[in-house]
Amino acid sequence: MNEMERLVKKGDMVIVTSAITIAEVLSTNMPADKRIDFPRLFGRREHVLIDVDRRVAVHAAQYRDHYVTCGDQYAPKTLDGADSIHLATAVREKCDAFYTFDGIDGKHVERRVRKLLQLNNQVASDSLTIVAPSLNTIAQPVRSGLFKNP
Amino acid sequence: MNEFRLTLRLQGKEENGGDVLFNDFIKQLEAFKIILADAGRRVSGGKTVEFKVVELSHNSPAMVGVEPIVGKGEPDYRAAWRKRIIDDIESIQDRGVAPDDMGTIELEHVEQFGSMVGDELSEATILVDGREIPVSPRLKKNVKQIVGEDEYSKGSLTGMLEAINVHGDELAFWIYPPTGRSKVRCVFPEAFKDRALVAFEKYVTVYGWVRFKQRDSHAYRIDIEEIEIHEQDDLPTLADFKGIAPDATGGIEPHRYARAFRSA
Repeated sequence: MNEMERLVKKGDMVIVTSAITIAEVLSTNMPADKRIDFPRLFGRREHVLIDVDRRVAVHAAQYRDHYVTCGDQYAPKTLDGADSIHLATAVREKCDAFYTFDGIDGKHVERRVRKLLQLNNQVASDSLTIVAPSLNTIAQPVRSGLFKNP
Repeated sequence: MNEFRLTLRLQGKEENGGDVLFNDFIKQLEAFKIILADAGRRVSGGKTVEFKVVELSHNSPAMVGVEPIVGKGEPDYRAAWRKRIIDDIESIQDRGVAPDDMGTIELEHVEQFGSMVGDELSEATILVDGREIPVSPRLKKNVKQIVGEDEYSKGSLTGMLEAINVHGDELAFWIYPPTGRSKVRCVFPEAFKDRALVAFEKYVTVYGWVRFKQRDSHAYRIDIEEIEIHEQDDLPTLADFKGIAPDATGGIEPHRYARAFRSA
């Protein structure tokens, strides 16, 4: 995480996340003052919050449909609704990498849903790098100079 | 015959003796120029292509011939450029199909190009190596059909507020999102003028009716209802949240907590 912080601070990395992240994070036992501060974090240029608009929603639904019917060994298990929104957001914003720990135990599915790390490189027909955050996985995918041209 | 030349022939209305009104001539050439430049960008991988006039006559009807300029040592896109323009116009006009790499803005330029035919112009024809491609009112009609009606939803967009216009019929500014998406035109009512001016060159979130073109991935316009300015110095940073709630997830690893939360 330190490396990620450094890149963000330098302006070489932008963290993009879906607006549903706010709902997810505020459901924790976060101190009251930080609960107020957390949504304000996305007023910073380096933390970009993306609405769940109709395009994201349709894209997410397509991912869920795809995995129900794809016919692989895990079908009809599909993506969790929130996961599908996060993935659709990342793909539509052309993110270089999607960071998650989901599936770090090597499992492909858990109960009803598919885990995300196992979808690395291909989410339905879209290409997306999905990795667990670590010092080794951060340096490669970043785009530099994102703020240089408004 | 010229391998790379593309000529536009224009015929005015009969009531003007077939002459094209100067204003219409300029408008049609402007639309033509944008189409040529769009095609140039698409065949050259995003480069700006310059053109030169190689033919100009008013010998009833008026004709203008142009050719792209290729710089020394640059790849020669001229043949691909000319083929692309003809293919695109024919595909849209004859079959009602737009090329996949042509965005809505480019299509609207094509619509503009076709919009005067039948009204201000009795004829507009593209000439290529003796071939004639007449532009018909069907071009405009087909573009309208391809682009379709706008889709709307309430929403927001965050980015740098730039290029404000507080004159003219529509007050507007542009938002440049930080993720590399295309800029979005934001139209605001007179009541927001002062707020918009204060927000100029600042990082903001705008809220309102977001408009999408059916073929496009992202919004192209927002009708503004609120502007929130983010003064960067007043905002928390990611570091401010580090270690602030060690028990935030009740001792469960964050990804397991998230999974349980989502499945609840």
